[in-house]
Amino acid sequence: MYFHSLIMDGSDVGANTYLIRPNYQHKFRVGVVEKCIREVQREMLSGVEYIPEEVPSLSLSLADSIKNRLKELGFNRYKLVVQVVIGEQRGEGLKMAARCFWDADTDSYAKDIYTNDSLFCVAAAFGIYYY
Amino acid sequence: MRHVQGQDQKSQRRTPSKREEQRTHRTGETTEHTQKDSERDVRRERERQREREGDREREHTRDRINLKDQEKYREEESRRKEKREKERRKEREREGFRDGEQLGWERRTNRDEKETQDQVDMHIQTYKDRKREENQVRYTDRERDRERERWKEKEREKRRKDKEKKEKDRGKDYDWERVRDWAEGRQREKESEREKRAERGKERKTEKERRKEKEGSRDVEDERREKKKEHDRDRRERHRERERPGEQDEWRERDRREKLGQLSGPVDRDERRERRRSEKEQQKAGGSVGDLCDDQETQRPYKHHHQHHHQHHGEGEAVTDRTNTREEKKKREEKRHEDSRSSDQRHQTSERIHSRRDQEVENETGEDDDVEGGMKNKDYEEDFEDYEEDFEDLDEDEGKDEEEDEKGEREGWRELSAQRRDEIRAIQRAMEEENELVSSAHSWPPTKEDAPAHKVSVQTESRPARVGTVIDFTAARQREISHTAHKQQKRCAELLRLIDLDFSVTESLLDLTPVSEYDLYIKRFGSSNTKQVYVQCNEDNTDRDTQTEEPDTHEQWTQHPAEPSAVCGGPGVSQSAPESVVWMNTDSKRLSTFLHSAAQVIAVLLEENRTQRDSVTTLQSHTHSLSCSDRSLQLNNNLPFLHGRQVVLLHCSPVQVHTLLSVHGGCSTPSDETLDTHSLLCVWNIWQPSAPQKILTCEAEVRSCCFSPGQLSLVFAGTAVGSVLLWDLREASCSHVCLRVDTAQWVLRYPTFSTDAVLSGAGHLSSVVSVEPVLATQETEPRAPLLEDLEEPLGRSFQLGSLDEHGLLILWVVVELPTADDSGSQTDLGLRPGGRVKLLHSSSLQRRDPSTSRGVGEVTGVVPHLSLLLKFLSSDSNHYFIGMSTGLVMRGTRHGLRAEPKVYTPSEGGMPAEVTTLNFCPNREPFFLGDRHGSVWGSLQSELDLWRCSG
Repeated sequence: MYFHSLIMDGSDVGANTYLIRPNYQHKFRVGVVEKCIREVQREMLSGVEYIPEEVPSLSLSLADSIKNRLKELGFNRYKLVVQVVIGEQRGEGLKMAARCFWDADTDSYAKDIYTNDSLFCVAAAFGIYYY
Repeated sequence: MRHVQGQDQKSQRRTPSKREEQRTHRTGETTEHTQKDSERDVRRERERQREREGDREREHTRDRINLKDQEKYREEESRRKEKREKERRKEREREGFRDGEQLGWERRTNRDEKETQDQVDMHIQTYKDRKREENQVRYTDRERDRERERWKEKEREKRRKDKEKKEKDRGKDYDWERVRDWAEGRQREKESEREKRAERGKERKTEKERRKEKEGSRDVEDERREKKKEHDRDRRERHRERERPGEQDEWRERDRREKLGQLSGPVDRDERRERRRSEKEQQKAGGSVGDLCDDQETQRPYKHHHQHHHQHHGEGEAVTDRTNTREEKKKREEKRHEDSRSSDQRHQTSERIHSRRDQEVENETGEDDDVEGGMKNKDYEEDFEDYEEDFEDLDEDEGKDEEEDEKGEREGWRELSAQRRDEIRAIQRAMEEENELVSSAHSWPPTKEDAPAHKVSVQTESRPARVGTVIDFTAARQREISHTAHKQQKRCAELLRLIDLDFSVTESLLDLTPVSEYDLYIKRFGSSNTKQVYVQCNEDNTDRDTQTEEPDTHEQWTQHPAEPSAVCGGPGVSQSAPESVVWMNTDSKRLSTFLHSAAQVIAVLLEENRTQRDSVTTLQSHTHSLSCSDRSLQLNNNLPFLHGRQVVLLHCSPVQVHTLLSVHGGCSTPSDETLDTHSLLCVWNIWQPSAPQKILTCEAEVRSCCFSPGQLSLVFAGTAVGSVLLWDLREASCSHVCLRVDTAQWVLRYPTFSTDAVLSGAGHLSSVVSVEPVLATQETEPRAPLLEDLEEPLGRSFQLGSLDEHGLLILWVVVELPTADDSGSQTDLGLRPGGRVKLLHSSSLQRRDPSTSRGVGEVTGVVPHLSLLLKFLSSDSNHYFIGMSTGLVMRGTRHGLRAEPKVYTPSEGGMPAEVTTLNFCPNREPFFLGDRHGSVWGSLQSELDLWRCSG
């Protein structure tokens, strides 16, 4: 059920004119996003070794490129949050978890994990629909 | 300078006009005061309670503004309304009265408190406790200090008067001092904010400079300042603790000064007070600029003095180590004031201004009461906070200003004037703000406020409220914010109805398990281009528990119905297989019989060859001794076990003539060996004289012996003890005792069957003198071939007769058992274990002595007739002959009719001789030949005719 969006002046805005669901083609599709994340990770991390000095900038650039790539996918009216964690592979155990307070109908997230011998990278993209 | 002062006055003039308006605002003030009085009572009541509850925590001194101070303020107000001189005295009385009143309150509220105590909230109660303690400390300190202060005040006043006489400015300084004491008390509340210390340090320096510029007369003060600086840091810590008492003291001090001031001059005093009030108010409202700077300076003499007299109290130590820019500015203002006061007119105007300000101070104090009572509401607080922000901004500005001031003072007046203008404007604004504030404070009805809010409010209030230039912007901003917020809120409210927000399931983004040590090792290992294999080391292989050796095994097979070609086989015996096949082809039974017979024959032949060789040498000598014989053989009796033994008997087999049985008695010289007492019987083959075929032994003395009739397999013997023994020669030698003598082995055979164990009644009671087998009639014919003998069936039974000395003839049946019993027989106790032949008692025949009936015995005399010999008639075994010791031969039959004649007697009388032998004519003639002991054969021969049988 979608509401037709009407652009009106503040005085004329009725109660039910908000677009509270994304269009079907604009919906946050997890599979697509995961694929996108994976591609970006492959491009940027293949053969990269963990160097503590370079990793902050690396993670930042990775997050940015993922975000830009996702923007190209055209998730209209979605706020995108991309979180990238890069850690060194030292044999330690690690657990990462995320919890969201959101509208489960519209909002979703996608993640992908990239690991090589020296580092692991967890990239998660959260798509929050902006009403 | 003048110009600036004029402006200043203008501004001062302007401000009172505004304040008059404000005063109209505060018309309800008096009524409010009455209300506040009642509130004050309540508060006091509470304080009493607290005093009662905990007197221990007296050191707690934090909250500066207390009730007493405000009460004093109020008192001052009331004083102002009435005539002031009277007021002074009344004030004193009231002080005392109030104490009494408080006691009354205490009593009264004891009851009230009990009723209401339960209803009091716990949180509030604790706060009250704290506050009460503080108040109490203040109270007691105040009581103590009051006495000192009075004395101090007098001294100070004296000094002040002297100084005032010298110089009016000096006197004013004292005023400043007083005001500053109070202001400092206020200021010290903010001492917790230490940010401004650095500023203050600067300010102090600037102060010095300014003062130097000002007057040479202030040199004294400079000296004091010097001292103060020295003490400043040391006392900072103490200040905080003593602020409260110090402040209170200052307040009291000020009151007293006012009183004293009356004496010195009403005009001076009024002026001083007014100024102080105004300054105080300015400071409070944040608009007053110049007070505190001079306060700082003016306080120094006081402080100095105080230090000398009451060091332990440290009231004077309420030093302005934290003097801020406000104080500086006030100082500047005051300079201007001082300048302006040079003329009376100006003085009066300023006085007027101050009087107006005093009224405002009243309002302020009322407001303070509100704050004290915790009646301020939140908005009020917020207002204060807003002001605070403004003040901070201003403080910074002022800091700049001050720097500029410094420059300005050095460079010129123009710049200063511009700054002053700004300051004045700021002051005006501050006044406006103050008015608003006051009006707002009054507009809200007094409500009970909780403790923390109170504190905050006190702090904020104590902060000098000053010019708020940003107020308009904030309002606009707020409006803007509220507008957008409203929009957003509306949108949010509408949207929230349409959507559901929920917490997602906690998504696990990453779950890396820790790498195990082994994995890590393998990871590193794998990269080093090596492999891993498993090996087993021998750690657990211990031989401690191994007890048996490894068994040797080899494979072999066999089959029961032996095939001609293959009986058994296997890797080990494959070569010997043909031989075994050959062996198995032969009939073992036949072979054994063949070998047996062949061995005998060969043995005999060998023996013959030997004897033929020997006969040439050895036997030749014997031939001479035996004239009646062609030749003779020497049996080899030179055997170890035959040494010392006497040959008792010889017996030849009637069937096999070459077989000879010799009986050897016991040893003549018996030794310890058991064998020596035994009798030995040797079976000889005369063709093999070198060694006996068989050696038989028994314990008793053998008196007679014989072979079995048909075959030579059995040997019978009669013993001296009356037993009949039987040997079975077929028994295997392994089952008998083996005697080892030198290198040769000799097998000693014990009897197979003995009649010793047979019932004694059925056996012989005397020595058996003769044993004789009963032959069948046809058996008299000699058995020709050797092999036929062997093939003779063993199962054939025959009878055996045995005769003892007393003529008892017992017939035995020789029975051969089909199978041998190695464990022995329980019924046949005489049978040896494994023996197969036994004797059964058949019948007994008692000889009737013919001599008794015929009178033979009479002839022969006393000698009893003894049977010596038994012979069965070879042609008819039913008849038997017994040779007697008396020379008689008795004839009898086993069964049937008695045969005649019964007794054969020798024909010639004379000495009877023993019958030693009997023999029959081999030609089937009915004659027999008897033999008597000692008689010649010839005679016997003659008698043969006589003894010829009738048949």
